[in-house]
Amino acid sequence: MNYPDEQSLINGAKSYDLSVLGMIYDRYSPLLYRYAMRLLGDDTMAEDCVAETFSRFLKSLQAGQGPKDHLQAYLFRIAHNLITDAYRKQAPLSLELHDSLPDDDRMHPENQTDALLQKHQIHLALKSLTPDQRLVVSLRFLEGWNHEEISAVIKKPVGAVRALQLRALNKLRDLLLMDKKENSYGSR
Amino acid sequence: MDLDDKRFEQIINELDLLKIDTDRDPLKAQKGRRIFLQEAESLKKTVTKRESLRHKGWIQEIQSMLFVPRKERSPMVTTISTILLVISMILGGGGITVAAAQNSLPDEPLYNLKLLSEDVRLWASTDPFVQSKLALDFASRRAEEINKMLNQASVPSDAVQMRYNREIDQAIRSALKLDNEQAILELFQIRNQVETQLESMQQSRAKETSEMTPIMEQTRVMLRQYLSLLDNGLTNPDQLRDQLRLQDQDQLREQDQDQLRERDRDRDQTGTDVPTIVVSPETTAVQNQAGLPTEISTQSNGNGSGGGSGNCLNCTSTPNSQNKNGPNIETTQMPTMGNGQNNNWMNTATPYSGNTLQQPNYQNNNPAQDNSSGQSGSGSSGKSNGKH
Repeated sequence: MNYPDEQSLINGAKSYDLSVLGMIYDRYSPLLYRYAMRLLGDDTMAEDCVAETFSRFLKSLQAGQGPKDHLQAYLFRIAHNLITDAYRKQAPLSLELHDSLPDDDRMHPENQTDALLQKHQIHLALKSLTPDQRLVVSLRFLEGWNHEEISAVIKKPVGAVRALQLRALNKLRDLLLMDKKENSYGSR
Repeated sequence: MDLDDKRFEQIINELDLLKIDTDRDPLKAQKGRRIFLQEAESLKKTVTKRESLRHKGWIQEIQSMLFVPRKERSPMVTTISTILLVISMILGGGGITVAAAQNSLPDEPLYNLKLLSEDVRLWASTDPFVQSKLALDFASRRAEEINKMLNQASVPSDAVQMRYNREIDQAIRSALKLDNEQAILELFQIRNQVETQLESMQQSRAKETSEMTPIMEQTRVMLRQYLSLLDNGLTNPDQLRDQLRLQDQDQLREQDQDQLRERDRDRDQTGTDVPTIVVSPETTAVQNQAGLPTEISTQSNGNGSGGGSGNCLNCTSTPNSQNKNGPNIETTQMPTMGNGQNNNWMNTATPYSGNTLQQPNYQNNNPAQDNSSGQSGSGSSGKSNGKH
């Protein structure tokens, strides 16, 4: 489907053109859902995140605000803030507490594949990043955005985005490698 | 992937594990879309108004304020309400300050504000009845202030006493503007209050220090004279009105004479001829015959009974040697006319002295001066000694 450019979509959205708003939803809601799903790991939470993102978008339009350009960056920024809020509301977890996680069926080693377990560890590691670091890493390596696009979302220069990325990867490496060492010690 | 990314290849590969393409439930996606568009439609309705309801110019702005309620918030109304809010805060703040000043004493910073607020209230009232009440109320405040200052062992200033005097004067004058029946009632109330205040000041005599005594004594004398005056007014308000009128005329005449004297002095100093107007006894006599009785006609000899013989109830005026045709009127009690008896006031403004506040020379007991003024025909009630 061919969509108009972002500026036309923004103008149509500001005049509450329902067809344009429908196009915006069709274009960006799958991306937002995927992004939320990857970070939250829960279908219902991801749907809620998408619905709330678009609701906030409408409210900002009504208040005469909303994006002037970079509509996609604007929507991802809202979604990212919602995901950060969701992380905050969840009970604090740390990698050190990994062995004492609730022993439910999903987390039980016998019922988990290695990939799922590893995924869970990555989620926990992402949670331990700062919101901006998490945003940069997830948009860069999960969504495949370039630095310029990310800088439009976090409203920081490209250099700052690179610095955030570097710090985030260092931290992830430390956390994940440390976790692997612990696992390897535990298995001996 | 740039160079930095290569150092973290392992980590980035692990992140790829999150790149799952979970199929989104199409029903949920459709439902989400529908909800979004419904919400957009509802917001669209509230934002877009009918053409007739939109603010499009200043005429519509005014109409919206007066007649047609609009859904949009008018910027003009916001501006006006802001201005009104600021004004009300300023006035409210001023009002609070004035209210706070009402209990201040003469030696406190807000006292002048208190006096100013009283002046404004008095000035704003046009009804003599209200004026009289207000002036009496303010006089009562002055009395309270004087008593409070006595209790605090501080000396009341001359200014407070003069204001006290002026306010009683104002209360009496305003009361006399009413018809006789009402005037008597008002004068009666004023008398009661003055009497109460005098008693209070007499009782507080024990608290007075030597520094306070002169001014307090002056105040008491002033109040006694007011009592005497009010007694006369209660008996015959018309007579009191006449007295006041004459005293006002007397005061004006004195001012004229002062101007003349000053002009003469200037002429003597500069040696130039300045045209002068001499007020002759005849002129005065003519005025007297015109229906202005009392002391003006009788005092020009300076040694007469003195029209201003305030406490002389039985004396009669001596016929004016230069105005034998003038009416020979029996003088009545003029309580504060600056006669010899009352001139022991030390520079204190006397009520109804003809120069209530400007009388310069209350301690002038020298008959020689009265003679000279009598000879020049410029004697006044306030300056005659009223010797018998």
